[in-house]
Amino acid sequence: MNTILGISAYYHDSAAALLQDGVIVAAAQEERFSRVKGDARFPHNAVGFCLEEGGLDIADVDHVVFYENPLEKFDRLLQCYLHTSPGSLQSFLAAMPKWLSSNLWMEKEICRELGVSRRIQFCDHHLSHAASAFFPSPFRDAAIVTIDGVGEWATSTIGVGEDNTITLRKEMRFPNSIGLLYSAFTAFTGFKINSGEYKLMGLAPYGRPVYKERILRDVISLDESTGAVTLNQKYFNYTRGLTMTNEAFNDLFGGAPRTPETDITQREMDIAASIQEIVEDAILAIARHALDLTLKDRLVMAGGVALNVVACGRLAREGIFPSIWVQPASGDAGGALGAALWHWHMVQGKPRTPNPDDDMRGSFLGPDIPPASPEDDEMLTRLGAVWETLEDEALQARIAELLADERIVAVARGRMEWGPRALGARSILGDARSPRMQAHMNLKIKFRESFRPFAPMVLAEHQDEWFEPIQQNPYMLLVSPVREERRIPLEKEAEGLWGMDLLKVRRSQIPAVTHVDYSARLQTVDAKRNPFTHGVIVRFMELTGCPVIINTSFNVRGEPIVCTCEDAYRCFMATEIDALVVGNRLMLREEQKSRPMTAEERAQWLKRYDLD
Amino acid sequence: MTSAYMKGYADRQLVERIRHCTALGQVLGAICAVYGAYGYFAGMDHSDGFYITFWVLGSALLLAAIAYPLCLDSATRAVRNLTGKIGHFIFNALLTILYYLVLTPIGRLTGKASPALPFAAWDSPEKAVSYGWRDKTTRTLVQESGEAHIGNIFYQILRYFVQHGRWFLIPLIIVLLFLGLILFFAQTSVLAPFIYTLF
Repeated sequence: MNTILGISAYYHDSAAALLQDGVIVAAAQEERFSRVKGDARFPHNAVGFCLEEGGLDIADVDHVVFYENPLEKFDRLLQCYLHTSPGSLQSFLAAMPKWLSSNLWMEKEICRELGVSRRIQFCDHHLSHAASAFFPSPFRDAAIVTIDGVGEWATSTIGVGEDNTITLRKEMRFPNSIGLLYSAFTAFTGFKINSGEYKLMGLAPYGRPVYKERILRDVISLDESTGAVTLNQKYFNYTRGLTMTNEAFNDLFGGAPRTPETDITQREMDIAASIQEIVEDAILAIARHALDLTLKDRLVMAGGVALNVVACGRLAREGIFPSIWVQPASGDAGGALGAALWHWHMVQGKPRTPNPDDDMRGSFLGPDIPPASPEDDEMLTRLGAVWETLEDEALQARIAELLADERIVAVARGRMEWGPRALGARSILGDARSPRMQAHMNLKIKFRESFRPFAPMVLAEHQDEWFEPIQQNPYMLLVSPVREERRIPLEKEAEGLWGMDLLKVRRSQIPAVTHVDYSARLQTVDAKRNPFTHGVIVRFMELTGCPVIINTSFNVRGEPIVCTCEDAYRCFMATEIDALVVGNRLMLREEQKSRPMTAEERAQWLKRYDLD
Repeated sequence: MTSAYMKGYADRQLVERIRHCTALGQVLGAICAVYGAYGYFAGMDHSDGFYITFWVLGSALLLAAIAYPLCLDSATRAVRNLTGKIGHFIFNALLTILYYLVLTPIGRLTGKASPALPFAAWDSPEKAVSYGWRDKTTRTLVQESGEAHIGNIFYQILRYFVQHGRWFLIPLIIVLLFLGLILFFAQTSVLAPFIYTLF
């Protein structure tokens, strides 16, 4: 058996993935085990899990592949300092010790961490992204677009995939980067880089794009025919300092960056709306350019910016490419999988047969919580859990009843999702029809900002009855508007409302998952990929007539999504979730032996997780 | 359930800690014991009690390092932490000198040769040029089978910079690589605290 271990590490979101004879056996991010959000350290836990899943010892692994080329990255760093000296000393001193002491000796470093002595293979950062997008996709051939902050030199690439080969034809190079541009605005609006970008995206519909013209005039130049961007370095500091933007940027946008956790003002909302629109325009232009270059009618995407579901949704609706497939773990974690797939298909030259349903197995590639296990029983008993065990169908019916009764149910069952989205295996579910649910879940369950929207799960077979037609979206990577006939017309007094006031207005028959611009980040649920959750929604629909429920990740603000039954139970008792499903066990809050956390204990517990 | 890999990793961590404790205990113990014994027998000007204390302390450290090295764990961490900070400070000072005396002059010269690089503000004398989309050269490193050696990596780095026309950076890179090698070994070596203080 030919085994390949892919690794991404040392920047953010370290992860490991295992292929056995070309089949994706396991993949997981380190943060889920270490409980440190975006953990960048060497992914020992993830590697341990992958090897266990494959029944292997590290010595049995045939090839270890790292997701990028450290030499070329070091070249970029040195070139950058050459051209920004003498003003970049601070950044030089921050980067060099780590590079000189470990990153540059990556091969030796990886060997030391793994406890082996062997050669390590190195892929190219964007080739890893491209491989993670194309090889598991359902397409025999496709155009490939990767967009992120920066890899070695490339910040975006356009390429083509055919059978078992990828050719990256074009690249946009550092420091011109759509990802870094979006991150700069993320930091300026008071959110954390590399994890708060989705908050900026969620904030955009509350604002008006009043800064768009200013950004396009002074800050960036956007080539509308190709999507290429050039950033005016007068306003940025990331090539020479430790911040993304500088004083000139502050002056242009009316003052200092927002301090995290302070009130969000109309300025932040308008900035979010402006930059979101620009990024969408750029992505659409890149897609058109990719079409011109490749003449393919299908597109695959990866890279952190591909997680901008609003932009991807618009891309899908514009119909530039009739079919789009986005890698569920599009960020750097996905590079681990891409690097392994690159080695299998392109270094070893193994043929590829596209799977019409894709090769991601619903993205359920992480550690398992089986329906029943003595280990989980023992752990839950120790934590004071009280449960009843039900067969699948009975459990689905009970969950549906609880949801219909406006109760909130958390589910930790089956293999954990690969990628940042919870798709039903580590999810908190709620009733999408309830007008109070968005604020309640944000403030009492997730302990996060009230403006944050929730995503709907919809039965794939009923998707078009509730949302504007869009392709199947099992990985929650595209946004689509709620259908016109499901919307509730605004009353006269609500028409003038703007910003956060819009939250008070009921906008559709499924208000909890309808964003203020009527958009929804939907996940289509089918019986093949996700049979248990499909059964729950079918039962819910029998009770209520509605095939849509809320799905949000099973965690609180700043916490990595839960991994084990222990994580799940602790999160359950720290929040106001009404019921918990672990495997085939159902636990009701009021029946638990251990008492829920007090407000003080909860505040202490939340402090463990950094804000994003 | 802990996987076999994680058990192996935990074992390696433990062995590493024991090695560090043993090295610190043996080196410090030997220094103290020899100093104490020499002073006592050679009849130096301090009181006998002073040298006996050193002798006993040194012998105790040596004994502990052999019998139960982990009892020196906290002390070892503290010493490594302290010497690490000293090393970091000295290393940053060296990097600062390199930055101003080597990197900046090279940057000035190469900047004059290619002023159109996109690191400048648009309204500066060096106008930024939009590179748009460029042909992508994908550089992967596919290695032959065998073992990873520092020598191979060293050679690979130098070859990369020569092949890509960065010959003018070679002197700087050689200095940086030697500094890096010292740090790389210092991080893993049991002699790290002593290397740092000698730095």
